[in-house]
Amino acid sequence: MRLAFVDLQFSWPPKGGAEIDLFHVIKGIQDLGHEVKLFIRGHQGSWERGKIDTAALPFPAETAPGSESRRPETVAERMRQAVDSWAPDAVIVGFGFFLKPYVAAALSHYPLALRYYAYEGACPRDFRLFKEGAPCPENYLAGPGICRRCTLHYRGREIARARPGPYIQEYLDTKAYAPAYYRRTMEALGKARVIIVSNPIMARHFEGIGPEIIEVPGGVDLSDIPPPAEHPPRERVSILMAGRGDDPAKGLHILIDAVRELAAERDDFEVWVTQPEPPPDAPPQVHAAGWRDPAGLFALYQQMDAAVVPSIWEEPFGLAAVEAMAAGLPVVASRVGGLQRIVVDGETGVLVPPADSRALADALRRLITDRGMRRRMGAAGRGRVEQEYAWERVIVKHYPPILEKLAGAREAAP
Amino acid sequence: MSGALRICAFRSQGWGYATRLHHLRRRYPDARLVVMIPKGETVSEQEAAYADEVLEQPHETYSIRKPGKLWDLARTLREARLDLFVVMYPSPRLRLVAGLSGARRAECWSYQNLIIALPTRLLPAMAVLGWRIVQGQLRFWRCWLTTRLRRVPMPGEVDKMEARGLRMPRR
Repeated sequence: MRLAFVDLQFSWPPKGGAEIDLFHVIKGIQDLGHEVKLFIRGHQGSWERGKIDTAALPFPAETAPGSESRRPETVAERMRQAVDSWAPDAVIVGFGFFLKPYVAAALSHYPLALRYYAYEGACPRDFRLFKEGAPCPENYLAGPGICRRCTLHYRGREIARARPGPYIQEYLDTKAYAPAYYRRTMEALGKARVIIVSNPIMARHFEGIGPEIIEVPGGVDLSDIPPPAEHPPRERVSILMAGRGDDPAKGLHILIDAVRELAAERDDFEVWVTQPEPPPDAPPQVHAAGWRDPAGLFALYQQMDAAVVPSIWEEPFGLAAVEAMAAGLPVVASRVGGLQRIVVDGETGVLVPPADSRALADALRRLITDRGMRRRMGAAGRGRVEQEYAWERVIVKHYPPILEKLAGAREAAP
Repeated sequence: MSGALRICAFRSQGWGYATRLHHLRRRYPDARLVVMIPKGETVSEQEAAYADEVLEQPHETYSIRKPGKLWDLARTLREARLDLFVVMYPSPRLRLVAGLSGARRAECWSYQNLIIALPTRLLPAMAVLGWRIVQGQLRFWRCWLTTRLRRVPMPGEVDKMEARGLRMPRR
């Protein structure tokens, strides 16, 4: 099968998780024996998007000529021309914000799958569905009125700025604030054969629109992650929170409350966060590990006894938990988004209600006290990652059915 | 003080500051590179490797609406006695800051990622900035009016209205 991938935010070397995900998917599908090609959008004036080192990619890729235009119709037309010139059997559209419906509509003469990585379909404000410290219950696709007003309310200052950032610029260029954009989005979604999402909350947003919704997790490359390290019992149990602690959605403040509660009763633990400095209000048990590149992060996991992912937003996937499990660590995670699928409560870690520092402290207390439980959960976690989240497994398990559906749609077409 | 060229690289919001420092160091290998960071921020290890001197900006952000902050920044920059002032983008606001810096010349990275000279005359910079602010306000009010006045009729709502013989809201 000839399969074209279209991505509107791709760059390589990667700048985000979506690129890494797409890279592994394209490579994996190519390894299955399919002919693949990636088409990306050029970006005018951007240092971090639309630039690819084609020599570093193990599959063919090209930037669609003229696609750096700010006019959405032109971008869609240029992407269509580039894809048409290669004549694929089906198309998978990867990451993109407001341009995605335009491009999807332009490519709807092919069997089409749309991949959503975060809440970019449901939340035009910032594709996170996280507002004022809590997950937002709204969904643009089901009720655009509130989301349109919310976007205007929260992003109004940026809209009025002399030069808005790329996200808001795209919002303005595509006129995503207008009713016509909503209709265009719904039409484009309706023409797709498959919508690929990462978790059940995302799946719910697309229910009733028409295409089949398929949940596909992300993955990890196990060859990058050293096997779990055995170390003798230490004076203090080390717990790592990897990720951007400065983002309130990641729940570092909840972890700090939990550490404060634990610190009142014991001093046999320490918590490490991947930040240049510990938060100013943190108790002395919280240490900064500095920003780490992936290799540095995996080396850090080797020195830890457990990991914690206290996110309070509905994490689309939860790569931090998968990486920690791959490193053989038990994971205490919030029962949110993709995390609740990754961590098996009581088996590979402990799930706690989000934003509940007392429950988080209880879970950490159990892990700090019980070394046997840590080892058992860590080993189970590594096993689960090998079975479910190693890229080869993800590709073989989840993508052939999607490709079959796209191939079936191709054959059924007049 | 040595006779080396004093270059100030002004860090503002956006990606790629360290990469820009790398290019700057390659372009001016013998210059004294002053890295100027917003108040309260820190220099990363990568950035520190290129810096001969780190200077903290007096405030976190600057706007033409807050001339006091701009004045503080201008004073700090003029005290640093710069030969070349380098900003990350050719934006009107950074052009104004470059004009206030007192440096003999200014450079920036164009949106095509080329190093270009930046005009530092104050009046044209202020005029461009003023026009951009007006454009931004017009853009905001256009969005506001569209969002507030033009509703998206939901499928159920459309059915009900058609059943009652009412006209659809304007699309």
